[in-house]
Amino acid sequence: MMNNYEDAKSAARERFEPSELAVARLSRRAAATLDQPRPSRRPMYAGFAALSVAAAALLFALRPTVTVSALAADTATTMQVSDDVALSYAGRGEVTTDGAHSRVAWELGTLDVEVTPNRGVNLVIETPEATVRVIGTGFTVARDALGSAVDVRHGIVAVRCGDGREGQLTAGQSMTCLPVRAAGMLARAKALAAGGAGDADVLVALDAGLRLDASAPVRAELSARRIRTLSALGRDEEAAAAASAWLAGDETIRRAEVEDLAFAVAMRRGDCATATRLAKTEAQAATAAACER
Amino acid sequence: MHSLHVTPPLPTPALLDAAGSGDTDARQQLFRDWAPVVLRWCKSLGGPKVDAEDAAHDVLVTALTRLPTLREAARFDAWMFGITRRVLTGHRRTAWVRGWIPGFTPDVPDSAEGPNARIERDQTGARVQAILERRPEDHREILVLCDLEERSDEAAAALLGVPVGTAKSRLRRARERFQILAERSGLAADNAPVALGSG
Repeated sequence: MMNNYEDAKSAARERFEPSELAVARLSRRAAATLDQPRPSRRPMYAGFAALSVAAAALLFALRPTVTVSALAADTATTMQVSDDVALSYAGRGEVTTDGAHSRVAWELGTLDVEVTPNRGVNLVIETPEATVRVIGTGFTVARDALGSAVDVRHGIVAVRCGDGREGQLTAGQSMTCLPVRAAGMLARAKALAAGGAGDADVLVALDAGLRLDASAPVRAELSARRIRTLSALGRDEEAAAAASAWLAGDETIRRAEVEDLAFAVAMRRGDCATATRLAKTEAQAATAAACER
Repeated sequence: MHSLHVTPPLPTPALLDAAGSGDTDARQQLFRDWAPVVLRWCKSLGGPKVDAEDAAHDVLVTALTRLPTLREAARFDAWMFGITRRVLTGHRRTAWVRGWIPGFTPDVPDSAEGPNARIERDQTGARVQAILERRPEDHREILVLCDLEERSDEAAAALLGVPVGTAKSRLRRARERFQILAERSGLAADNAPVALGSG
């Protein structure tokens, strides 16, 4: 159970934070609505409108049939997108296809793709971190908090990551695209820690997150976790410097936690004066006073 | 001290003019900056039965359509918030009516859950959302603006169109009530009272 209000606020913010895909989908939808022609109010345009409608109907009848399907399943589910494209997935996303061209916006979970080679199928898989282009192959895209991982079983795929890295993968090869937003890097750091990864790996993710543009709450969480991780790695001098710099600012989120960390680090370093200055509780004051003596 | 961190820079009058005249680039710029803010408002203020993306879509379309009626570019954020409130009122009413139609599947919020369950944080986030949902609209708004979005009392008052003193007293009452409900719902652990507010 969460046991302080910062955790509750943080969990609520996470719940309400819209995903990049949702924002992109919303923008596309709103733009499409605004681009719809509005009905004319003048009778003189009636004939022209009727003509336009007839032309539009003709174009509509001649257009390739585009279908959009939501993908959402907690357990492995298969879907035949067209004669030459089969998906097996556990997670969520959306597939748009006109038969020859298919596009999958994959949001979370594992997506397994089989494409019949040499049939001219054009397929693109997009995640927030990666774009995967393929013509005739079998591969898997797995997206979770760590990023988007592409594993190729056979054929060739071209992968372009959001951070600019590109590569062509052949059978047996894999590539992971890391989150491109600070919040994503924070999620990666948390997932690494929860998965038992070493503190050094967690620190790499936190440092990468801090190099990206971040909102104040995300930056505060990244910074607080970085200080804690530095401390866990025994890099007390860096932890003390980072905590001191953080506390010099006016950020309120995680402040109490960072103050406690800074106090503990100061005590470990034998920096009694700093510990005395940072002591907030009677117990801390007593410990710092004993240190001074 | 609170800091504004979720509101993008206010659009310039030139950008608003261009967007209002149908300039696609200007419109995209507005969407880039404001779609995340509007969607976040719809998710946090709309409650679990409102489809946040549907509501945010209506807000953006309404705003872009009525852009020529905006008188002060400097108050664009308050104007957007006002439209969001009105649209959400309609969507909440629709969601309520739908709840009484037999066989109608209620709208669900933009799903944060996936196969990779983030159980504890999801549960806490859902509980906070459930408590917010049970609060009157004015409490919900002030808690979201001041405590989740970390706006200053002054900034929240400007968005809500109320005096700063009113915003402060409303925030105090909302926090007190939130804490009581948090404890009742089991959100608070022993010795660790949960309140959204920090002051």
